[in-house]
Amino acid sequence: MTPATSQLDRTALLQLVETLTAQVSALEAEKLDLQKNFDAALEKAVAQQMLKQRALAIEQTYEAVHNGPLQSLAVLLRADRVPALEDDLRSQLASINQELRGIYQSMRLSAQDEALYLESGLTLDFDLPLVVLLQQVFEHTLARDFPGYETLQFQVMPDFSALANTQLSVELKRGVCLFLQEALCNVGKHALGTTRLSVLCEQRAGSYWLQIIDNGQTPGMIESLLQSLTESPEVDHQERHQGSRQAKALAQQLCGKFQRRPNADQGTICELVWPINPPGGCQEDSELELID
Amino acid sequence: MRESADESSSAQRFLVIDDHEAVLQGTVPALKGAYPEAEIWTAQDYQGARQLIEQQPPDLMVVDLSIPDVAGQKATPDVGLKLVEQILTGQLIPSPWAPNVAVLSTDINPLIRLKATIKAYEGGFAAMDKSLPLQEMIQYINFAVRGSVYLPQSVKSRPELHSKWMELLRLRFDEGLNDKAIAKRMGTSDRTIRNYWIRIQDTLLIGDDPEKDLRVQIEIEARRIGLIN
Repeated sequence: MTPATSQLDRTALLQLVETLTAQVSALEAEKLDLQKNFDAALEKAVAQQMLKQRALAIEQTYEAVHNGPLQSLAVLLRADRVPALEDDLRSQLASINQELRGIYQSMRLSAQDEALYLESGLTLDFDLPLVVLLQQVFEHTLARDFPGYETLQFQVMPDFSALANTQLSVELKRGVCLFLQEALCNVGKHALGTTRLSVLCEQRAGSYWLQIIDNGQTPGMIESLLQSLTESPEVDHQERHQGSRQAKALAQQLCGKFQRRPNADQGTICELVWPINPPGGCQEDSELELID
Repeated sequence: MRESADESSSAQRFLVIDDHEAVLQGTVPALKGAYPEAEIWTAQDYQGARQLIEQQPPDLMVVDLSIPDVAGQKATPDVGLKLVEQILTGQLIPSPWAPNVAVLSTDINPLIRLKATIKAYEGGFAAMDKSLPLQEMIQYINFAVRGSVYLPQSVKSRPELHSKWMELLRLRFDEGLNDKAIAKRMGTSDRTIRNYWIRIQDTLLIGDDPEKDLRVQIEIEARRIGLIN
């Protein structure tokens, strides 16, 4: 071997070593990354497992409370022929009954972030089917003190069962509930003299239809002007505008349409329509027609 | 074979479903006291209830929502809810037999999902908290036996009607149809129409007055509050 070739070999070797070192450190960095990802995934899995266990523990607590003390209390409370059960004791037992239910409710709701707290104290549990949630929103909202509800002497119960098979995400369920609440509040706040309020929910022509129809007075220009002198129109207008914007955004997410328009005789129709099988890439197509 | 659940000439048959012996021991004697002629059967789980129902459909069912599927399994409200839903939708007992149903539970909230179905159901229905005194329980069960509907409501609520009852009012008072023609038009049984009338009467808080014509009273009240124009 000549000195020249040995020199060449040496250079090649050095280069090789250099490349290998670089590759090794790249691999090490990759390994570190992988380790990090693995740790993160593990952490997430453990957290999920813990959440699952927590939810399970809560369910088991509910069942234990439900099948044990609540049943015994029921037996005691209904025994009206037992003289020993004085009124005082009865009311104490009744309050224990309430307390036990309260514990479960609060445990269950604190375990999930998806609860929605509606105004004036209703908490919606988004684990429940949409049909149930909308029913709760309807009843709860109609029980509120609004001028538009004062003239309502009856209500017709809505039938939301057309929505029984919808598969909406928690976010969209929340959106539809808020839409109904907003529409009903609008009737309560603005549609004075309403005697008939209909909430219609159906499947028609490949779409879901949710309509809130009232026969109240839609404030005309003079009334609006008079109202604006006595109330705080800025806030109110902003509120309504915000409501419409939310409804619009919801309609877009559902690939559907939102519309608020005058009723044939008197009043307003507020309407959300969305396809049962939404087409792909529909986000931009939603046509909107708004009054305000 | 009897025509339907509330037109029996022979003894009425009641089925009480609860997995708690202590509850059965309270409910069954109270029912016997109020309905001495009735034949009372009991079941403690879903499968047992189903077997008895298939053997001979009952006239009245008193159901706890929280029952096990079969004895020994865990009791959950889903099981009782499934049973009630199958009854209301005619899956277990085919029409024209629609038993009156009373739900007795420590938590009747899960029923809210079936509210629209309940109000349109052919048979009577009552839901109540299990801790109610037995006397009150019997009162509400009487509601169901009568063909009416009783669901606990919040204090402030106004009368709430089902859209089918509205259709009945319209066909009777706007178009002048009789019950037979209305049943045909609405595609339902005569008994359903009779029970809808009872439900409208109860919802509008119209009492029985031998000197007054019930239908005319319903019409007056319905026009007064704007149910019909």
